[in-house]
Amino acid sequence: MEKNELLRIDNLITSFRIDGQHYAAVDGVSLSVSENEVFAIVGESGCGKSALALSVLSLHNSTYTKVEGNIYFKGTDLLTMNVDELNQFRGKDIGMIFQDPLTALNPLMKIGEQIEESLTFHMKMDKKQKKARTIELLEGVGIVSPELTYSQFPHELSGGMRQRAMIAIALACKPSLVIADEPTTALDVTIQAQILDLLKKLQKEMKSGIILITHDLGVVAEMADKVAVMYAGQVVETGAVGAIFKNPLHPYTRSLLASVPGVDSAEGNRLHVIEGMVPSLKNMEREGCRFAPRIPWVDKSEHEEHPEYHEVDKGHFVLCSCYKNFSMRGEG
Amino acid sequence: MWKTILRRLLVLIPQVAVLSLLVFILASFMPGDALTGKIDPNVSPERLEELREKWGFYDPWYVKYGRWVTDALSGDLGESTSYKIPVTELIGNRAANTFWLSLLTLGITYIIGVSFGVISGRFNGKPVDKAISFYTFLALAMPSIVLGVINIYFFSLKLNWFPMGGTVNVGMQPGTLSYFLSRIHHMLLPAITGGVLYPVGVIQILKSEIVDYKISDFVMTARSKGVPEKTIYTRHILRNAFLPTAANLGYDIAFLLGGSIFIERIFSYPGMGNLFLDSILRRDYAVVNALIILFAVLTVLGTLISDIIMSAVDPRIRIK
Repeated sequence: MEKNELLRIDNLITSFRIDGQHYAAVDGVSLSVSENEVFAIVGESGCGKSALALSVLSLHNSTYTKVEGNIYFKGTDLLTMNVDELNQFRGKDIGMIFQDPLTALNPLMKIGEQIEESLTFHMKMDKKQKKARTIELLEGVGIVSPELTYSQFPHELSGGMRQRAMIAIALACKPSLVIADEPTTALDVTIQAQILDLLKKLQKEMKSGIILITHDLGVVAEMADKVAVMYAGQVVETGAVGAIFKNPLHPYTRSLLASVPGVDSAEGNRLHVIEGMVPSLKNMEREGCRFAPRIPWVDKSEHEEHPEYHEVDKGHFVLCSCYKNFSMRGEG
Repeated sequence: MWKTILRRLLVLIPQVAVLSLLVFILASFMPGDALTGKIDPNVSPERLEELREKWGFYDPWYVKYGRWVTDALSGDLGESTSYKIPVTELIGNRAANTFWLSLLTLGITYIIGVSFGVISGRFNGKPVDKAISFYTFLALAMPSIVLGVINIYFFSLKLNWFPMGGTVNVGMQPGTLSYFLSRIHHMLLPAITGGVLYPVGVIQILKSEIVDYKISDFVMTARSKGVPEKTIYTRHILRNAFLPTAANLGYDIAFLLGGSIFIERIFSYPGMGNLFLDSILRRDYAVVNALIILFAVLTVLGTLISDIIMSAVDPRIRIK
């Protein structure tokens, strides 16, 4: 165990029940987040990023979802807790920022009330203190007229303002870990940059750990210290951001990076497209290398029958041996 | 807001004008008239013809309409041909009866509807929800006349718990406690009959809203804040889920005075619904016209009240 480890996820399997059968959306993910660290989880839609994020606080509907494995927060396993015990952690030690601020705020409650709600259940504060703290929070997330916003309803705010309010909710009790599930996906590009800057600034101030779920590699490069690349429910490559971007090894990571349009790429160059699609939960091939169907030119013998993690550098892991002789199609 | 209310009320005027015209035209197609049913052997057919001429039954509909409009504008809605009293007085008496019966019915409807809807939504898919679903199917399939007759048979005839019809026991002094209790006693069985059949809509709407909101994003946010499940229900799920039901309340206000034709008929309760049916059967056009226009006005008022309720409970909706 690392010295200042905040969260350790061990062999997490989150499966959804479809027609009476369970299908794992997160299939054996292990990772560890330290204090004051931004850990990015990146991958295509449907690769299990959000399912992973929601598993940490057991926010899945328990009727249809089974979560197995261990999630240790500062040494205590969150998955063995009942709802009342979890509620002690939710919002207080672990804050959560959701993707769409339009739907993630209660339309009938004032912004102030919604921020105060987490204070009510975790802090011993009277009405005045709560209001003062809420105004302070709104100011902290860069809202120009916090007094006014305090008594406004979500529909009266712009998308960016709403996401700021959402961040204020997540940070209300100064959590040591923040899980941001695609916090900028629903926002305009210009607002995205503002929100990311804000998150980064607040993270530095509060020295909290952040799990940043995103499909935007630019965001990863900008924000993260460590990154895990997910594909079909598994982490296919993980390591420090510098290492992954300089020396991407797994075919999926390389394909993803090749798919990013560059400003300086020569005119007429076509954008790289990964063949095929992420398999649906029900039709996913669970034996062997899961990325194999999308790189059909790679010989079967390159893949491992039971893919394992290879530590190529300190802290830099790659799943399956197919990375060794991999070349992108066309590179020969 | 006052502007909107005033505007809506002004729109009522052309609506009522067109409606009254339609009613008159349609009525002219109906066979028979107020004297058709009078087969008193002491009145000669010649005398009936004379009366028809005298009361203007042979006038074309636009002449009748002109006469009616002129009278109505001065507040006179005519006289009932079968009751021989002014229409306004007749409706006034019946409206009070219907109002109290409808109020009791609505009370029962919403008590059952809201509680069953909330239980059904919260325990969606569980046995208790399935039991409530079974009840709603049954209530939806059951015509009120059938249940009314069944109830009269068991609770009035066999068990003798309730009177079979009417509004009050004979010989009671108005204003006394026993008079009041007797009226309630007479209203209970018809109110229960309606009250167990009408909640279906409330239950279904409330249930589906709750089921939707249970998995909504902002409820997830609330959970991520560590809000206890009970508070999540009261503050986040139910407050949102009640919006359509609250809006529906406005339309039910129209029902307060409109009454239920079938239930009033079965329990021979002298209310508006019963009066409406009687008036049509007796070709008592003055009463029919007044009632249809009254129902129309109530419906428009109901939608207006619904809008006002919505703007009061939902901050996203504001009447300008």
